[in-house]
Amino acid sequence: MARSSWIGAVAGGIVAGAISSLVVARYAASDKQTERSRADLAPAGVLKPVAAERAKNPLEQRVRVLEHLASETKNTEEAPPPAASARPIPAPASREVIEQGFARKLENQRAEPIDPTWAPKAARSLEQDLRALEQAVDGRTPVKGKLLGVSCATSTCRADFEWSDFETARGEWREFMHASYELGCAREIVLPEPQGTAKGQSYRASMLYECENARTDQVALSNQEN
Amino acid sequence: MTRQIKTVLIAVGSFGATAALLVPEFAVAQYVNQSAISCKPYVLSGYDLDPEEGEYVATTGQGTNLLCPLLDDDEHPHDSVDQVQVFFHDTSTMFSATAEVCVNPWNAIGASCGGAVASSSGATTGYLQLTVTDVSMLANHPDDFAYLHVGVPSGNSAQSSVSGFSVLY
Repeated sequence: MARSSWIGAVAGGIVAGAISSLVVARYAASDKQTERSRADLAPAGVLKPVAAERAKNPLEQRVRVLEHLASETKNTEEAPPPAASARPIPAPASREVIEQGFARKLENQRAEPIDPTWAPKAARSLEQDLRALEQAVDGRTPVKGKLLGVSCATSTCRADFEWSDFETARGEWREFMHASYELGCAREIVLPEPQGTAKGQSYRASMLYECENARTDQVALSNQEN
Repeated sequence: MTRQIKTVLIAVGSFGATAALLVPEFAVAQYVNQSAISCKPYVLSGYDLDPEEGEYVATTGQGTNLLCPLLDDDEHPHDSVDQVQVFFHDTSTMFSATAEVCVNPWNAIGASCGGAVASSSGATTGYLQLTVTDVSMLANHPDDFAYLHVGVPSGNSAQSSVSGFSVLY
């Protein structure tokens, strides 16, 4: 390629890039300025009239404030919808949906067939790690929750706990969630909120362990040992 | 390749380079660094905050746990995280440091954690980096609140500490 063509192409690209950058930057600055202007106007539009009316008749003041709020509402209704965000605002699931979903996972865990070569070892390992929380070691306060038992199946396990009441469980479940586990299982716990008279009574909850990766690691370790 | 195509490619390359240089907003976020000072120990004892270093240090025999918020906004959604690197000073010859990503649901009490990655127990001490690559928990729960759980081992004679973490996108 001739040297002049190289120079021409590079120069053209730089000039075009610079021009488009200026246009984009100006457009963005204009948008920000508009947002700032709106933000600046909002307090003045709402607060200043209210402040100015303070010395007048309280009833008249309230009427003016209500009129102002009504006009604000009308303006809001007529305003064009905000520009679409690059990412939708999160839509959280309701408490009932989360609690029911977790209950279904626990039911599925119960229905999972038991692998006799893996399940007992995994259950022993988890129980040992959880029982360690019941002991006062190195100044650690023992947990108040009682481990009722651990059961494992093919690649999942569950641990059942009991506390004296829901509030105690609420303050302590993270101890079990973030215990030092030998098995690197994924874990999930949801504490359903008790209803009515059940609030002050003893409270039970379960932790679900999903150990597909940990199981693979353990199988690999066992093969190495053999 | 013909001369015209080469010319066009060079022009387009120059255009892109110039535009990216002049408009920083074009650049895509690659990482977010956060100090461990944003983390919170969830137990009431067993840790100290070093005010000079801005580090959390474990003081009890078995160490402590830190919970660190993971940034989540429309520019840095947590379901786009590729990996999390935790930087810590491991002085323990007995226990491992661990790290994992977790989420809290918006409307219920509980959490889900993705399974911890651990440093090699006792074998290595010093300034280490732990990389959490299994971040599927974050991708599977885009609407929940995300956090990092770091298990900090205590040292035999000195204290272990966490200085911060990097979230890579």
